[in-house]
Amino acid sequence: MTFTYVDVGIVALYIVLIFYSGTLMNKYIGGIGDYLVADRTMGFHLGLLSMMCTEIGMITYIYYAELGYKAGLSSLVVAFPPMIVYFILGRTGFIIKPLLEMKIMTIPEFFSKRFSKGVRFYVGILMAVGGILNFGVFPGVEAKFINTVTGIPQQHVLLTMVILLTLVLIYTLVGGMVSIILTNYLQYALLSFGMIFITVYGVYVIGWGKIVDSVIAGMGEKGINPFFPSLFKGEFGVGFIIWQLLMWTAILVAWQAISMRLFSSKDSKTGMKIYSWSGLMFLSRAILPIFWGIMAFAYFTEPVDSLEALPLLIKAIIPSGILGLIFAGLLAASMSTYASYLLSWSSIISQDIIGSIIKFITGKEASAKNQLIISRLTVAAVMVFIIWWSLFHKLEGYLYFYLQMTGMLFLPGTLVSIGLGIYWKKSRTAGAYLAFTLGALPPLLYLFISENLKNAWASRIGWGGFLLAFVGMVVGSLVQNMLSPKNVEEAAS
Amino acid sequence: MSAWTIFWGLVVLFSLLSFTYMSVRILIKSIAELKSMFRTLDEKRKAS
Repeated sequence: MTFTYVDVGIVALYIVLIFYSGTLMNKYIGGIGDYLVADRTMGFHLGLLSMMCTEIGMITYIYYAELGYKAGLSSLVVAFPPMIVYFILGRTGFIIKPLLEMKIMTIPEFFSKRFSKGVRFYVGILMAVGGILNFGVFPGVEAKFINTVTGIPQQHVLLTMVILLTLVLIYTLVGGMVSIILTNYLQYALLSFGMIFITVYGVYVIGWGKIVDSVIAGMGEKGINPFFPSLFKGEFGVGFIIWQLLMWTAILVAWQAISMRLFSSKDSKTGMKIYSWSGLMFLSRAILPIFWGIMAFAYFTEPVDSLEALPLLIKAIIPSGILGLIFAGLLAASMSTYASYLLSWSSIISQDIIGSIIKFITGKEASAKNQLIISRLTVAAVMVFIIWWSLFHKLEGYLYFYLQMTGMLFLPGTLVSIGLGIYWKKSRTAGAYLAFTLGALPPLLYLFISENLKNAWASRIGWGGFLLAFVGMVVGSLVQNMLSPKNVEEAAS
Repeated sequence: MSAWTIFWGLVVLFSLLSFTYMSVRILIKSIAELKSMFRTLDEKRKAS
Protein backbone atom coordinates (compact mmCIF):
# COMPACT_ATOMS: atom_id res chain seq x y z
CA MET A 1 0.00 0.00 0.00
CA THR A 2 1.11 3.60 -0.44
CA PHE A 3 1.19 6.33 2.17
CA THR A 4 -1.90 8.46 1.38
CA TYR A 5 -3.01 11.97 2.49
CA VAL A 6 -5.21 10.33 5.15
CA ASP A 7 -2.11 8.63 6.61
CA VAL A 8 -0.16 11.90 6.51
CA GLY A 9 -3.08 13.65 8.27
CA ILE A 10 -3.14 11.07 11.08
CA VAL A 11 0.60 11.43 11.66
CA ALA A 12 0.39 15.27 11.62
CA LEU A 13 -2.46 15.21 14.14
CA TYR A 14 -0.44 12.97 16.41
CA ILE A 15 2.60 15.30 16.28
CA VAL A 16 0.45 18.35 17.12
CA LEU A 17 -1.07 16.53 20.12
CA ILE A 18 2.34 15.53 21.43
CA PHE A 19 3.73 19.08 21.24
CA TYR A 20 0.66 20.60 22.80
CA SER A 21 0.94 18.31 25.81
CA GLY A 22 4.70 18.99 26.03
CA THR A 23 4.21 22.75 26.31
CA LEU A 24 1.47 22.26 28.91
CA MET A 25 3.91 20.34 31.10
CA ASN A 26 6.64 22.96 31.13
CA LYS A 27 5.14 24.70 34.19
CA TYR A 28 5.86 21.63 36.33
CA ILE A 29 9.61 21.73 35.77
CA GLY A 30 11.29 23.35 38.76
CA GLY A 31 14.69 21.73 39.29
CA ILE A 32 16.82 18.89 38.00
CA GLY A 33 14.83 16.36 40.07
CA ASP A 34 11.58 17.20 38.24
CA TYR A 35 13.40 17.23 34.93
CA LEU A 36 15.12 13.87 35.30
CA VAL A 37 13.01 11.66 37.57
CA ALA A 38 9.65 13.52 37.70
CA ASP A 39 10.30 14.08 41.41
CA ARG A 40 9.68 10.36 42.12
CA THR A 41 5.92 10.59 41.67
CA MET A 42 5.33 7.65 39.32
CA GLY A 43 2.93 4.85 40.32
CA PHE A 44 3.01 1.19 39.22
CA HIS A 45 0.92 1.21 36.01
CA LEU A 46 2.32 4.52 34.83
CA GLY A 47 5.82 3.29 35.61
CA LEU A 48 5.28 0.11 33.61
CA LEU A 49 3.75 2.04 30.70
CA SER A 50 6.60 4.52 30.75
CA MET A 51 9.20 1.73 30.90
CA MET A 52 7.65 0.02 27.89
CA CYS A 53 7.52 3.26 25.90
CA THR A 54 11.19 3.90 26.60
CA GLU A 55 12.28 0.43 25.68
CA ILE A 56 10.11 -0.02 22.59
CA GLY A 57 11.36 2.15 19.78
CA MET A 58 11.33 1.80 16.01
CA ILE A 59 14.91 0.57 16.45
CA THR A 60 13.63 -2.27 18.71
CA TYR A 61 11.32 -3.47 15.96
CA ILE A 62 14.10 -3.20 13.38
CA TYR A 63 16.81 -5.15 15.24
CA TYR A 64 14.42 -7.86 16.42
CA ALA A 65 12.84 -8.19 12.96
CA GLU A 66 16.34 -8.47 11.47
CA LEU A 67 17.04 -11.39 13.83
CA GLY A 68 13.78 -13.08 12.79
CA TYR A 69 14.44 -12.49 9.10
CA LYS A 70 17.99 -13.88 9.28
CA ALA A 71 17.66 -16.65 11.88
CA GLY A 72 14.00 -17.71 11.70
CA LEU A 73 11.97 -19.13 14.58
CA SER A 74 15.19 -20.08 16.43
CA SER A 75 15.85 -16.43 17.18
CA LEU A 76 12.68 -16.27 19.30
CA VAL A 77 14.87 -17.73 22.07
CA VAL A 78 16.43 -14.27 22.62
CA ALA A 79 13.14 -13.15 24.19
CA PHE A 80 13.51 -15.38 27.25
CA PRO A 81 16.62 -14.07 29.08
CA PRO A 82 15.17 -10.57 29.69
CA MET A 83 11.91 -12.08 30.95
CA ILE A 84 13.74 -14.40 33.36
CA VAL A 85 16.05 -11.67 34.67
CA TYR A 86 13.27 -9.10 35.11
CA PHE A 87 11.23 -11.62 37.04
CA ILE A 88 14.10 -12.68 39.33
CA LEU A 89 15.22 -9.10 40.09
CA GLY A 90 11.64 -7.93 40.63
CA ARG A 91 10.78 -10.80 42.97
CA THR A 92 14.01 -10.91 44.97
CA GLY A 93 15.05 -7.24 44.86
CA PHE A 94 18.60 -8.51 44.16
CA ILE A 95 20.79 -5.41 43.65
CA ILE A 96 17.85 -3.13 42.72
CA LYS A 97 16.39 -2.87 46.25
CA PRO A 98 19.58 -1.52 47.86
CA LEU A 99 19.92 0.91 44.92
CA LEU A 100 16.34 2.15 45.32
CA GLU A 101 16.83 2.66 49.03
CA MET A 102 19.90 4.83 48.36
CA LYS A 103 17.63 7.32 46.47
CA ILE A 104 20.15 8.04 43.73
CA MET A 105 19.37 9.66 40.35
CA THR A 106 22.08 8.07 38.17
CA ILE A 107 24.04 4.82 38.52
CA PRO A 108 27.46 6.54 38.67
CA GLU A 109 26.29 8.23 41.88
CA PHE A 110 26.50 4.79 43.47
CA PHE A 111 30.17 4.60 42.60
CA SER A 112 31.06 7.85 44.32
CA LYS A 113 29.17 6.67 47.42
CA ARG A 114 30.63 3.15 47.49
CA PHE A 115 34.08 3.59 45.90
CA SER A 116 35.42 7.03 45.00
CA LYS A 117 34.63 10.11 42.92
CA GLY A 118 37.36 9.02 40.51
CA VAL A 119 35.48 5.77 39.81
CA ARG A 120 32.29 7.76 39.24
CA PHE A 121 34.06 9.95 36.72
CA TYR A 122 35.64 6.95 34.94
CA VAL A 123 32.29 5.11 34.80
CA GLY A 124 30.58 8.26 33.57
CA ILE A 125 33.01 8.45 30.63
CA LEU A 126 32.61 4.75 29.72
CA MET A 127 28.83 5.01 30.02
CA ALA A 128 28.70 8.12 27.89
CA VAL A 129 30.91 6.59 25.16
CA GLY A 130 29.08 3.21 25.15
CA GLY A 131 25.65 4.77 25.44
CA ILE A 132 26.16 7.31 22.70
CA LEU A 133 27.80 4.84 20.28
CA ASN A 134 24.75 2.66 20.93
CA PHE A 135 22.30 5.50 20.48
CA GLY A 136 24.33 6.80 17.52
CA VAL A 137 22.97 4.26 15.04
CA PHE A 138 19.32 4.92 15.89
CA PRO A 139 18.67 7.96 13.63
CA GLY A 140 20.23 6.49 10.48
CA VAL A 141 18.51 3.10 10.75
CA GLU A 142 15.16 4.65 11.70
CA ALA A 143 15.28 7.36 9.02
CA LYS A 144 15.75 4.65 6.36
CA PHE A 145 12.81 2.76 7.88
CA ILE A 146 10.61 5.88 7.78
CA ASN A 147 11.61 6.59 4.18
CA THR A 148 10.79 3.03 3.10
CA VAL A 149 7.34 3.06 4.73
CA THR A 150 6.37 6.54 3.56
CA GLY A 151 7.93 6.29 0.10
CA ILE A 152 10.39 9.18 0.65
CA PRO A 153 13.48 8.54 -1.57
CA GLN A 154 16.47 7.19 0.42
CA GLN A 155 18.74 10.04 -0.72
CA HIS A 156 16.79 12.28 1.70
CA VAL A 157 17.78 10.19 4.71
CA LEU A 158 19.70 13.07 6.30
CA LEU A 159 16.70 15.38 6.01
CA THR A 160 14.45 12.73 7.61
CA MET A 161 16.94 12.31 10.46
CA VAL A 162 17.18 16.04 11.09
CA ILE A 163 13.38 16.48 11.09
CA LEU A 164 12.88 13.48 13.40
CA LEU A 165 15.55 14.61 15.85
CA THR A 166 14.42 18.25 15.81
CA LEU A 167 10.91 17.16 16.77
CA VAL A 168 12.30 15.04 19.60
CA LEU A 169 14.70 17.75 20.76
CA ILE A 170 12.00 20.39 21.07
CA TYR A 171 9.69 17.95 22.80
CA THR A 172 12.36 16.77 25.26
CA LEU A 173 13.79 20.18 26.11
CA VAL A 174 10.36 21.63 26.71
CA GLY A 175 9.12 19.32 29.39
CA GLY A 176 11.70 16.79 30.65
CA MET A 177 10.50 13.64 32.38
CA VAL A 178 7.08 15.01 33.40
CA SER A 179 6.13 15.64 29.78
CA ILE A 180 7.57 12.28 28.74
CA ILE A 181 5.39 10.45 31.26
CA LEU A 182 2.22 12.19 30.03
CA THR A 183 2.88 11.80 26.32
CA ASN A 184 3.94 8.20 26.91
CA TYR A 185 0.30 7.47 27.59
CA LEU A 186 -0.82 8.49 24.12
CA GLN A 187 2.23 6.85 22.62
CA TYR A 188 1.63 3.55 24.36
CA ALA A 189 -1.96 3.43 23.13
CA LEU A 190 -0.73 3.83 19.55
CA LEU A 191 2.24 1.52 19.70
CA SER A 192 0.36 -1.31 21.43
CA PHE A 193 -2.40 -1.07 18.80
CA GLY A 194 0.26 -1.21 16.07
CA MET A 195 2.01 -4.24 17.56
CA ILE A 196 -1.19 -6.22 17.95
CA PHE A 197 -2.54 -5.24 14.53
CA ILE A 198 0.63 -6.09 12.56
CA THR A 199 0.87 -9.53 14.23
CA VAL A 200 -2.78 -10.53 13.80
CA TYR A 201 -3.18 -9.07 10.31
CA GLY A 202 0.18 -10.50 9.20
CA VAL A 203 -0.79 -14.03 10.22
CA TYR A 204 -4.19 -13.51 8.55
CA VAL A 205 -2.58 -12.41 5.26
CA ILE A 206 0.38 -14.81 5.14
CA GLY A 207 -0.86 -17.79 7.19
CA TRP A 208 0.94 -19.71 9.97
CA GLY A 209 1.46 -22.77 7.74
CA LYS A 210 3.24 -20.75 5.04
CA ILE A 211 5.42 -19.03 7.64
CA VAL A 212 6.62 -22.34 9.11
CA ASP A 213 7.06 -24.00 5.70
CA SER A 214 9.11 -21.06 4.38
CA VAL A 215 11.44 -21.11 7.39
CA ILE A 216 11.99 -24.87 7.13
CA ALA A 217 12.49 -24.70 3.34
CA GLY A 218 14.82 -21.68 3.51
CA MET A 219 16.80 -22.33 6.68
CA GLY A 220 16.32 -26.02 7.48
CA GLU A 221 16.54 -27.34 11.07
CA LYS A 222 18.67 -24.31 12.07
CA GLY A 223 15.65 -22.07 11.47
CA ILE A 224 13.47 -23.75 14.07
CA ASN A 225 15.89 -25.33 16.56
CA PRO A 226 17.99 -22.69 18.40
CA PHE A 227 20.37 -25.38 19.69
CA PHE A 228 21.18 -26.87 16.26
CA PRO A 229 23.66 -28.58 15.67
CA SER A 230 24.16 -29.06 19.45
CA LEU A 231 23.44 -27.37 22.76
CA PHE A 232 26.96 -25.92 22.89
CA LYS A 233 27.60 -25.25 19.20
CA GLY A 234 24.25 -23.69 18.26
CA GLU A 235 24.18 -19.96 17.40
CA PHE A 236 21.74 -19.46 20.30
CA GLY A 237 23.16 -22.26 22.50
CA VAL A 238 24.39 -22.34 26.10
CA GLY A 239 27.13 -19.71 25.62
CA PHE A 240 24.62 -17.28 24.13
CA ILE A 241 22.07 -17.89 26.91
CA ILE A 242 24.70 -17.32 29.66
CA TRP A 243 25.87 -14.11 27.98
CA GLN A 244 22.30 -12.88 27.60
CA LEU A 245 21.36 -13.63 31.23
CA LEU A 246 24.41 -11.69 32.45
CA MET A 247 23.85 -8.96 29.91
CA TRP A 248 20.22 -8.45 30.85
CA THR A 249 21.02 -8.44 34.56
CA ALA A 250 23.51 -5.66 33.83
CA ILE A 251 21.05 -3.80 31.60
CA LEU A 252 18.28 -3.88 34.17
CA VAL A 253 20.59 -2.68 36.88
CA ALA A 254 22.70 -0.15 35.03
CA TRP A 255 21.09 0.89 31.74
CA GLN A 256 20.44 4.52 32.45
CA ALA A 257 17.17 4.74 30.47
CA ILE A 258 15.77 1.75 32.41
CA SER A 259 17.24 2.53 35.82
CA MET A 260 15.92 6.11 35.54
CA ARG A 261 12.44 4.60 35.35
CA LEU A 262 13.24 2.58 38.43
CA PHE A 263 14.51 5.64 40.32
CA SER A 264 11.38 7.60 39.25
CA SER A 265 9.08 5.15 41.04
CA LYS A 266 7.64 6.41 44.31
CA ASP A 267 9.08 3.68 46.57
CA SER A 268 11.20 0.51 46.39
CA LYS A 269 8.12 -1.74 46.50
CA THR A 270 6.66 -0.03 43.40
CA GLY A 271 10.04 -0.24 41.65
CA MET A 272 10.31 -3.99 42.28
CA LYS A 273 6.71 -4.57 41.19
CA ILE A 274 7.38 -2.70 37.92
CA TYR A 275 10.33 -5.01 37.29
CA SER A 276 8.35 -8.21 38.02
CA TRP A 277 5.65 -7.32 35.49
CA SER A 278 8.04 -5.85 32.93
CA GLY A 279 9.32 -9.40 32.39
CA LEU A 280 6.09 -10.47 30.78
CA MET A 281 5.92 -7.31 28.68
CA PHE A 282 9.53 -7.72 27.57
CA LEU A 283 8.75 -11.22 26.34
CA SER A 284 6.18 -9.77 23.93
CA ARG A 285 8.43 -6.81 23.13
CA ALA A 286 10.87 -9.28 21.59
CA ILE A 287 8.61 -12.11 20.37
CA LEU A 288 6.23 -9.99 18.28
CA PRO A 289 8.84 -8.00 16.26
CA ILE A 290 11.01 -11.12 15.73
CA PHE A 291 7.90 -12.81 14.42
CA TRP A 292 7.32 -9.90 12.00
CA GLY A 293 10.82 -10.52 10.61
CA ILE A 294 9.94 -14.20 10.17
CA MET A 295 6.70 -13.19 8.43
CA ALA A 296 8.73 -10.94 6.10
CA PHE A 297 10.99 -13.90 5.29
CA ALA A 298 7.92 -15.96 4.37
CA TYR A 299 6.19 -13.14 2.46
CA PHE A 300 9.00 -12.05 0.12
CA THR A 301 10.01 -14.65 -2.43
CA GLU A 302 13.17 -12.71 -3.37
CA PRO A 303 15.77 -11.85 -0.66
CA VAL A 304 15.64 -8.26 0.62
CA ASP A 305 18.02 -6.24 2.82
CA SER A 306 17.48 -7.65 6.34
CA LEU A 307 17.09 -4.17 7.89
CA GLU A 308 14.56 -3.26 5.19
CA ALA A 309 12.50 -6.45 5.58
CA LEU A 310 10.11 -5.08 8.20
CA PRO A 311 9.31 -1.69 6.62
CA LEU A 312 8.79 -3.41 3.26
CA LEU A 313 6.42 -5.93 4.88
CA ILE A 314 4.44 -3.17 6.64
CA LYS A 315 4.18 -1.20 3.42
CA ALA A 316 3.15 -4.31 1.48
CA ILE A 317 0.41 -5.70 3.73
CA ILE A 318 -1.07 -2.89 5.88
CA PRO A 319 -4.10 -1.12 4.28
CA SER A 320 -4.05 2.68 3.76
CA GLY A 321 -5.57 4.60 6.67
CA ILE A 322 -4.45 1.93 9.13
CA LEU A 323 -0.93 2.49 7.75
CA GLY A 324 -1.04 6.10 9.05
CA LEU A 325 -2.13 4.91 12.47
CA ILE A 326 0.57 2.23 12.55
CA PHE A 327 3.15 4.75 11.38
CA ALA A 328 2.09 7.21 14.09
CA GLY A 329 2.51 4.31 16.54
CA LEU A 330 6.00 3.62 15.22
CA LEU A 331 6.87 7.31 15.41
CA ALA A 332 5.41 7.36 18.92
CA ALA A 333 7.63 4.48 19.92
CA SER A 334 10.65 6.31 18.58
CA MET A 335 9.86 9.72 20.07
CA SER A 336 9.64 8.38 23.62
CA THR A 337 12.74 6.23 23.21
CA TYR A 338 14.74 9.15 21.82
CA ALA A 339 13.48 11.50 24.49
CA SER A 340 14.35 9.10 27.29
CA TYR A 341 17.73 8.13 25.86
CA LEU A 342 18.63 11.77 25.26
CA LEU A 343 17.71 12.64 28.82
CA SER A 344 19.44 9.64 30.33
CA TRP A 345 22.74 9.83 28.45
CA SER A 346 22.92 13.60 28.73
CA SER A 347 22.25 13.33 32.48
CA ILE A 348 25.30 11.07 32.75
CA ILE A 349 27.42 13.61 30.85
CA SER A 350 26.04 16.69 32.59
CA GLN A 351 25.94 15.29 36.12
CA ASP A 352 28.71 12.74 36.27
CA ILE A 353 31.30 14.16 33.89
CA ILE A 354 30.76 17.93 33.62
CA GLY A 355 29.38 18.13 37.18
CA SER A 356 32.47 16.33 38.52
CA ILE A 357 34.81 18.66 36.59
CA ILE A 358 32.99 21.78 37.86
CA LYS A 359 33.15 20.49 41.42
CA PHE A 360 36.86 19.66 41.02
CA ILE A 361 37.65 23.17 39.74
CA THR A 362 35.36 25.30 41.91
CA GLY A 363 35.15 23.04 44.97
CA LYS A 364 31.32 23.15 45.02
CA GLU A 365 28.32 21.70 43.16
CA ALA A 366 26.80 23.67 40.25
CA SER A 367 23.52 25.41 41.17
CA ALA A 368 20.22 23.69 40.28
CA LYS A 369 19.61 26.27 37.54
CA ASN A 370 23.05 25.77 36.04
CA GLN A 371 22.65 21.99 36.18
CA LEU A 372 19.45 22.33 34.17
CA ILE A 373 21.15 24.56 31.57
CA ILE A 374 24.12 22.16 31.29
CA SER A 375 21.73 19.22 30.93
CA ARG A 376 19.84 20.91 28.08
CA LEU A 377 23.03 21.94 26.25
CA THR A 378 24.32 18.38 26.56
CA VAL A 379 21.11 17.04 24.99
CA ALA A 380 21.72 19.28 21.97
CA ALA A 381 25.40 18.21 21.70
CA VAL A 382 24.49 14.50 21.88
CA MET A 383 21.98 15.08 19.09
CA VAL A 384 24.59 16.56 16.76
CA PHE A 385 26.97 13.66 17.43
CA ILE A 386 24.44 10.91 16.71
CA ILE A 387 23.52 12.47 13.36
CA TRP A 388 27.19 12.47 12.41
CA TRP A 389 27.70 8.86 13.62
CA SER A 390 24.58 7.66 11.79
CA LEU A 391 25.88 9.09 8.54
CA PHE A 392 29.41 7.72 8.70
CA HIS A 393 29.32 4.45 10.65
CA LYS A 394 28.90 1.25 8.59
CA LEU A 395 26.90 -1.45 10.40
CA GLU A 396 28.18 -5.06 10.25
CA GLY A 397 26.77 -8.27 11.77
CA TYR A 398 23.45 -8.38 13.59
CA LEU A 399 22.29 -4.89 14.64
CA TYR A 400 21.16 -6.52 17.90
CA PHE A 401 24.72 -7.61 18.68
CA TYR A 402 26.18 -4.18 17.78
CA LEU A 403 23.80 -2.54 20.23
CA GLN A 404 24.64 -5.03 22.96
CA MET A 405 28.40 -4.76 22.41
CA THR A 406 28.42 -0.96 22.60
CA GLY A 407 26.50 -1.27 25.88
CA MET A 408 29.05 -3.81 27.01
CA LEU A 409 31.75 -1.15 27.05
CA PHE A 410 30.51 -0.40 30.56
CA LEU A 411 27.92 -3.05 31.51
CA PRO A 412 30.21 -5.91 32.71
CA GLY A 413 32.19 -3.55 34.96
CA THR A 414 29.02 -1.90 36.20
CA LEU A 415 27.25 -5.15 37.07
CA VAL A 416 30.28 -6.62 38.83
CA SER A 417 31.11 -3.39 40.68
CA ILE A 418 27.54 -2.77 41.81
CA GLY A 419 26.89 -6.42 42.72
CA LEU A 420 30.13 -6.95 44.62
CA GLY A 421 30.07 -3.34 45.88
CA ILE A 422 26.77 -4.09 47.60
CA TYR A 423 27.30 -7.70 48.67
CA TRP A 424 31.10 -8.07 49.12
CA LYS A 425 32.56 -5.88 51.82
CA LYS A 426 36.14 -6.43 50.65
CA SER A 427 35.52 -4.84 47.23
CA ARG A 428 37.75 -1.80 46.73
CA THR A 429 38.35 1.07 44.37
CA ALA A 430 41.24 -0.62 42.53
CA GLY A 431 38.95 -3.60 41.89
CA ALA A 432 36.29 -1.32 40.39
CA TYR A 433 38.81 0.38 38.07
CA LEU A 434 40.16 -3.00 36.95
CA ALA A 435 36.68 -4.49 36.49
CA PHE A 436 35.63 -1.64 34.19
CA THR A 437 38.86 -1.70 32.22
CA LEU A 438 39.04 -5.48 31.68
CA GLY A 439 35.29 -5.79 31.08
CA ALA A 440 35.49 -3.22 28.27
CA LEU A 441 38.28 -4.99 26.34
CA PRO A 442 36.32 -7.88 24.68
CA PRO A 443 33.47 -5.66 23.37
CA LEU A 444 36.04 -3.15 22.14
CA LEU A 445 37.66 -6.01 20.21
CA TYR A 446 34.25 -6.93 18.75
CA LEU A 447 33.83 -3.47 17.24
CA PHE A 448 37.03 -3.89 15.20
CA ILE A 449 36.96 -7.53 13.99
CA SER A 450 35.56 -8.71 10.63
CA GLU A 451 31.88 -9.51 10.10
CA ASN A 452 32.43 -13.31 9.99
CA LEU A 453 34.32 -13.27 13.28
CA LYS A 454 31.71 -10.97 14.79
CA ASN A 455 28.95 -13.54 14.24
CA ALA A 456 31.10 -16.53 15.27
CA TRP A 457 32.58 -15.00 18.43
CA ALA A 458 29.78 -12.78 19.75
CA SER A 459 28.69 -15.08 22.58
CA ARG A 460 32.24 -15.82 23.75
CA ILE A 461 33.14 -12.13 23.67
CA GLY A 462 29.90 -11.47 25.55
CA TRP A 463 30.35 -13.76 28.54
CA GLY A 464 34.12 -13.26 28.39
CA GLY A 465 33.64 -9.56 29.20
CA PHE A 466 31.72 -10.40 32.37
CA LEU A 467 34.27 -13.03 33.41
CA LEU A 468 37.17 -10.58 32.95
CA ALA A 469 35.31 -7.87 34.89
CA PHE A 470 34.74 -10.30 37.75
CA VAL A 471 38.40 -11.35 37.78
CA GLY A 472 39.42 -7.68 37.67
CA MET A 473 37.26 -6.78 40.66
CA VAL A 474 38.46 -9.71 42.79
CA VAL A 475 42.16 -9.32 41.92
CA GLY A 476 42.14 -5.50 42.20
CA SER A 477 40.34 -5.56 45.54
CA LEU A 478 42.53 -8.30 47.02
CA VAL A 479 45.73 -6.51 45.93
CA GLN A 480 44.51 -3.18 47.35
CA ASN A 481 43.46 -4.88 50.58
CA MET A 482 46.89 -6.45 50.80
CA LEU A 483 48.79 -3.22 50.13
CA SER A 484 46.56 -0.98 52.22
CA PRO A 485 44.49 -3.13 54.60
CA LYS A 486 42.66 -0.20 56.18
CA ASN A 487 39.69 0.73 54.07
CA VAL A 488 40.47 4.38 53.49
CA GLU A 489 37.20 5.00 51.62
CA GLU A 490 35.11 3.62 54.46
CA ALA A 491 37.06 5.63 57.03
CA ALA A 492 36.52 8.78 54.98
CA SER A 493 32.78 8.17 54.65
CA MET B 1 4.70 -29.95 12.39
CA SER B 2 7.63 -30.70 14.68
CA ALA B 3 7.65 -30.15 18.45
CA TRP B 4 9.65 -26.96 17.92
CA THR B 5 7.12 -25.39 15.55
CA ILE B 6 4.25 -26.20 17.95
CA PHE B 7 6.28 -24.73 20.81
CA TRP B 8 7.02 -21.51 18.89
CA GLY B 9 3.37 -21.25 17.86
CA LEU B 10 2.31 -21.40 21.50
CA VAL B 11 4.99 -18.85 22.47
CA VAL B 12 3.80 -16.37 19.82
CA LEU B 13 0.16 -16.89 20.80
CA PHE B 14 0.89 -16.46 24.51
CA SER B 15 2.92 -13.29 23.85
CA LEU B 16 0.17 -11.79 21.76
CA LEU B 17 -2.58 -12.53 24.28
CA SER B 18 -0.58 -11.45 27.34
CA PHE B 19 0.55 -8.25 25.60
CA THR B 20 -3.03 -7.40 24.63
CA TYR B 21 -4.35 -8.04 28.14
CA MET B 22 -1.55 -6.13 29.87
CA SER B 23 -1.77 -3.19 27.47
CA VAL B 24 -5.51 -2.71 27.99
CA ARG B 25 -5.08 -3.03 31.76
CA ILE B 26 -2.17 -0.58 31.90
CA LEU B 27 -3.97 2.01 29.76
CA ILE B 28 -7.07 1.91 31.97
CA LYS B 29 -5.29 1.94 35.33
CA SER B 30 -2.76 4.62 34.38
CA ILE B 31 -5.44 7.31 34.13
CA ALA B 32 -5.94 7.41 37.91
CA GLU B 33 -2.19 7.47 38.49
CA LEU B 34 -1.72 10.35 36.04
CA LYS B 35 -4.34 12.36 37.91
CA SER B 36 -2.65 11.62 41.23
CA MET B 37 0.80 12.54 39.84
CA PHE B 38 -0.38 15.94 38.62
CA ARG B 39 -2.19 16.58 41.90
CA THR B 40 1.09 16.01 43.77
CA LEU B 41 3.11 18.15 41.37
CA ASP B 42 0.47 20.91 41.54
CA GLU B 43 0.56 20.94 45.33
CA LYS B 44 4.36 21.17 45.29
CA ARG B 45 4.24 23.99 42.75
CA LYS B 46 1.72 25.96 44.81
CA ALA B 47 3.68 25.36 48.02
CA SER B 48 6.85 26.72 46.42
